[in-house]
Amino acid sequence: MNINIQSNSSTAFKHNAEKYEQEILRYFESQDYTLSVHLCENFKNLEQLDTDNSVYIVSSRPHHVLENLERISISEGHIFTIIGESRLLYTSRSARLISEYLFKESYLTHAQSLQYFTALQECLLNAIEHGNLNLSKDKKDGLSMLDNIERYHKVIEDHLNNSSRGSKLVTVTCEVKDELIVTSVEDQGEGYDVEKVLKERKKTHTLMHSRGIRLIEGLTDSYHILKNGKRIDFAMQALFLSHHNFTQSSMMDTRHKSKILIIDDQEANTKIAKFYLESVGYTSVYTANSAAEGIALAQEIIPDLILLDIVMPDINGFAACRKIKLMEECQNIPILFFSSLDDTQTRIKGYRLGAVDYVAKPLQKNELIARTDAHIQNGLLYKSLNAYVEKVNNDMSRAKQAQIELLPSSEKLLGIKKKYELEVSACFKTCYELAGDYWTVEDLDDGRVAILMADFTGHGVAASLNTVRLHAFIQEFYHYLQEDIESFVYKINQRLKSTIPLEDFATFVCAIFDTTKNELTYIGCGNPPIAVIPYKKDAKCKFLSCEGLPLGIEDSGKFSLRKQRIQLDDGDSLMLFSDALIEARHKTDNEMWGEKKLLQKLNEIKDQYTYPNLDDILETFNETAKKPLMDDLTILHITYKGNNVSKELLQSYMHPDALLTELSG
Amino acid sequence: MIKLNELGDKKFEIVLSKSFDFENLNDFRFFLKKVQKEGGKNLNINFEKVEYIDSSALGMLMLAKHETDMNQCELKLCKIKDGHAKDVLHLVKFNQLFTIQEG
Repeated sequence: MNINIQSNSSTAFKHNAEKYEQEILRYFESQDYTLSVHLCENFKNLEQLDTDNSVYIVSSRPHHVLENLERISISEGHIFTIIGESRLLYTSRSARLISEYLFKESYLTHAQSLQYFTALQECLLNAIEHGNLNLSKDKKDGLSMLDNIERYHKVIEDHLNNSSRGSKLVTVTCEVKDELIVTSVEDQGEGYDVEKVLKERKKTHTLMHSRGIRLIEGLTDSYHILKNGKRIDFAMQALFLSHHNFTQSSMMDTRHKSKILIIDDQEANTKIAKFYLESVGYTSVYTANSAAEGIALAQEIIPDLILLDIVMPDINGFAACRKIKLMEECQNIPILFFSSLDDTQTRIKGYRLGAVDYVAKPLQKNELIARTDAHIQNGLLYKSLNAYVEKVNNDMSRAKQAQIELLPSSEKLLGIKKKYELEVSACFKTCYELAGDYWTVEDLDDGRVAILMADFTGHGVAASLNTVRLHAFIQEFYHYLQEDIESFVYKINQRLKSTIPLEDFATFVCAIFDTTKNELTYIGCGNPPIAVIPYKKDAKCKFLSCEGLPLGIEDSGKFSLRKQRIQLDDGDSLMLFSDALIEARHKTDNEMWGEKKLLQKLNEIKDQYTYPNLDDILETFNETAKKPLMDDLTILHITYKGNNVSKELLQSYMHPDALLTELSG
Repeated sequence: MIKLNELGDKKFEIVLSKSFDFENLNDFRFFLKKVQKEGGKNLNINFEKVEYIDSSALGMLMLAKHETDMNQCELKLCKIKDGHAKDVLHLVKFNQLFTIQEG
C-alpha cells in the first residue's frame, strides 16, 4: 500500500492537513493498493488532474469530507475519484478539467472528450440541482428555468452559498472496465422516481437539444441510474489504452486510416453521422449533400465505405448506387444504405444493387458505428486477400518460368540433333501452375544421349520443388550417368529418399540411346511403359515395361533395378510419357485411355502417317481426351535417323514451350 | 468418401471409395492417426470399390506403411480387383513393400 497525500490549498487549510492525513491513512489502512490523495480547498486550486489512481478531496471543510470517505470505492481499473462539495463542483470548469485529463492521458479521443465533457457536466448539474439542492419545478421552489434563466441561476446560487444543501457532497469516480471508461456521479440528495422520469424521457423527441437523461443517452455508449436516482453511471469506449496495459485496439488504427463518404441531401443527417463516426476515431469522413456531388466525390477520393441515403431529389440512392458500381475504380467499394424507408422490399432492392448493409433512420450511434466498423474491416480483408492472391499469382508465374528453364533449352536439343541426328520433341503441360513432372536430355559425348523423365507425386508447389531437387541431383551425379546408369539411379534414389517427405516419391525412367549401335538401354522405376513406334510398315507399336519401385521410397535392399537393353531398327521412334496420357478420360464414354487404347491409337497413327510425329499424337489425344487434365502431362518423342531412312523423317524441332498451348487444360 | 471400420480386437479397416486420390488425403491421414491412437494391431485397406488411384494415393499408402511399421501394426492391402488400381500397384512394384491380397 502506498498512500501519498498532497495538500494543494491555502495555509489555513494546510495547517490542519496533518490531522486529516492521519484520518485518511487510518481509513485506507485496511486497503491494499497504491493511492495518491490530494486535498484541495477549492476546485480552482486543482490546476490539473495529473496522477492515476488518485483521490481528490475538494472541500474547504475536509473534515466533512472525511466523514464520507466510505463513499470512495476503489477497484481494479480505478483512474481517480473526486469527492467535493456541491458549491465547489458546480462549475463547467470541473467537467472540463476531467474530460481534458482523460483526453490528455489518451483514454478518449478528442471528439470523445467533447462528448464526455457535455455528458459529465449534465450529470453534475443534475446531481447538484435536482439531487443535493433538491430543486424541482414540481416542488414549486419558485423555479422555472424556462421562464427566467437569470432568476433560476440566482436561486441556485443562493442555495449553494447559504443553505446547508450547498455543502452536500458529489462523488465522481472514473474507472476502466472491460475497455470502457465508466464514470459514476453520485449525490447526497433524496433521489427521485426513476421509472417516472424514464417514461417522460420517451415522450421527448429531440435528441441533441434536450437535457437530462436524454442528452446523456445520446452522448454516451450506455448509462445506468442507480440508488433511486442518486447515482448515474455512464460509459464510453476507451480507445487509447496501450500504455494502460491494454492492447491498443487495431480497430482504432483501421478507423484512422479509413475514408468514409456520407451522401444525404439532409445536411443535418450528414453532420450527425459524421459526428458519430469522428467521435470514435474516424478521421477522414467526407460528406456530400446531393447524389451528384457524392458520385463525383467518390470517384475523386475512392472511399473505403459509402453511407448512402435512399430518398434524395434528382438522383435517388438506388440510382446513385448503380452509377457508383458502374465506375471501375469504385465498383468494389461497399455501400451501406441508410434511410427511413425500412420495408423489406426497399432493403432487398438495395442488396440487389450491390449494397452490403442497411441502417434505419433515425441513426442510432452504436449501430452506425458497429456496422461501419464491420464493413470497413471486411473491405480491408478483401483488399488484403486480393493483394495476396495477386502476389501468389505473380510468384507462381515466375516459378513456372523458372521450372520451364530447368528443361533442356532449344539450343541444347538442336545441338544434339545436329551432332547425332537424334531428335527430341516434347510436350510439357501442367494441370496447375507448377508441375511435378520433369524431363531432361544429356549428351554423353560418345554417340550416346541420355533421356530422363520423372513424375513426382502430387502437383503444384510441393511437387515442383521436388523437381528442382531432382534437377540438382542429376547435375551432381552426372559422371555416374556416363559410366554406369545403375549407379546413377541408385545415387539419385538415395538422395531423394533422404530429402523428400515420406509420402513423396517419383516414378522415373532413365534411358540411354546409343546412336552408334541404334540401341536403347534403360531403367524404369514405376514409370508408364516406353512406346516403340516402328519405322517398318508391317511392324506394330509395342510397349517396353518400366515396372519398378519409384525413387525416394526405399534405399534398402528392396530397391533393386533392372537394366534392359533393346535393339532398335533404323527409323524407329520412341515415346516416353507420364501417366496423365493413359489416365486421361475419353470425351464420350469417360473411360480412361489406358495402355491398350493408347497402343491401338499409336498403331492407327502409324498406319495413317508415313512418318508419325508428336503433332500427330497430340492431335489424336486432343480430339478424344476430356479436359481439363487432372495431372501434369509430359510426352517425349525421340526419333533417330538411321542410314536407311528417308530424310523426310526429320521433323522440324519443336521446343516444349511451343507445345504448351497444344493441350488446353 | 472413405470410411474407417473398427472390427474389434484392435483390428481396423479403411474402406476406400471409387476414386482413391488427393481428395481423400485428409480423411486418410485422420484415420491413420485414429488407428494409431487406438493402438491398432491390424489395419486392412479395402480396395474393393477402387477403380482409379493416383500418385497422391500411393503416397498415402507409403505413409500408412511408415505409421504401421512404427507401431507394430500389420498392414494389408485387400480385395484389389483387376483394373487400373491393380495395374498401378503392379507398375510401381508395391507388392515388394506391402502384403497384397487380390480378388
